[in-house]
Amino acid sequence: MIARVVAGERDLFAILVTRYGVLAKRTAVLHGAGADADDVVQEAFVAAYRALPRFRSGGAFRPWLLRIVVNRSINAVRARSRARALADRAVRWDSALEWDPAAGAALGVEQRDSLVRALGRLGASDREILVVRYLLDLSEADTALMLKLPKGTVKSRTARALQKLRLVLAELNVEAGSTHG
Amino acid sequence: MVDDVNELPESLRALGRGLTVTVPDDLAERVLAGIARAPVRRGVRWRRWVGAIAALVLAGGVSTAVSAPVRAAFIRVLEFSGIEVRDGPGPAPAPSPLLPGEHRTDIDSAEREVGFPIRIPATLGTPESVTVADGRVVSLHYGQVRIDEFAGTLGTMWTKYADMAAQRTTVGGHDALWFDQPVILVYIDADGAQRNESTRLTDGTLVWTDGGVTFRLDGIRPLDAARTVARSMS
Repeated sequence: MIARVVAGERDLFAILVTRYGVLAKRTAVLHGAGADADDVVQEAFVAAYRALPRFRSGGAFRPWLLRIVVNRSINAVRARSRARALADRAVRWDSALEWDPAAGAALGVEQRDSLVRALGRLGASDREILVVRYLLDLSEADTALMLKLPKGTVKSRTARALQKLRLVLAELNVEAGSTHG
Repeated sequence: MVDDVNELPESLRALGRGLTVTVPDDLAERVLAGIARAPVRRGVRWRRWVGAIAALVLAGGVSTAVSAPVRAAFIRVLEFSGIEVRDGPGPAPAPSPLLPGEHRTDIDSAEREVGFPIRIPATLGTPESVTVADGRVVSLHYGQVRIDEFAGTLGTMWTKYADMAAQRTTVGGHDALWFDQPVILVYIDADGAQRNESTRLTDGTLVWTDGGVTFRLDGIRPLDAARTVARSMS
């Protein structure tokens, strides 16, 4: 279908937008796009369309698109922080995330909050790989393509980030224990 | 607690699934408006089609080398759902392919006309237009995407010229066939006559049956995307 879009059937691109719109939005909000997420997604699709002739045919469209979304999200975050006072530069990574109350059945609110807090205490690159690999649920191969990393690096970085997350979660438990105990 | 070695990745996935995002209804339109100034390169398309048809002729030639029982079994399966797949290039696509008596209507009237419940894919939503042809085929149109629904028990209704191009798969546990390459599609009317004015070149087609109705989803690729749309119809 991508070849046909490139060949001039522009309207077919709407199917890709329909198909990947939600994933693109998730990617944008998880990369800090916040209130700009809709604009970021729209711009990313337009940019992706313009870049389509350079897209390697037979390649994976999803990680390729999502990388464009991430780059646009980072630009949006930078533009925002430039416009902001220095004081609120350290915005919480999850400040613009909304959680589905119905999904609480699979993951308790308490558990969710501790995961979100723990992710917030990780370094940006550790959080990034966990967000892409698990929250966005990309395969190892797609994660590698999206982050432009060798597959082996994705594997080792994911394992290391999980280990760090486990430690932070344990710390949070101790803190919670000392508060309530 | 999320301290188990295997549980943590699952908890993170659950966290991701619990994230609520909404996309504007008109996102695709806005994107298309945004790219309206991008260069459109016509002309390449027809060369591609000619290439695709040439590839089909070649595929037909190759498949005749396959033993007859294999091909017979293959066709029998497809006939079960009202579609047969044949060797060879088939007729040339009609300039504006049309099914016999194809006319625009709405879902309710279409349902009365064909006599079976029509399904709408949740992933694509309300179709841009609905047509009924020959009193027995309902088509939902979404831009270049088309879904045909018909009772697969009425005998052969379509011929696809694309032997060996089909890949077996499933949709919600039901048998399905995926045609990754372009194929020539011709409608067969109730008298068994091939209606050449209906001849279309389709590209990326998923066919499956569910509850006696056969569904043909055209124009969504890759297979995963097509199956996602198909599953959203059950």
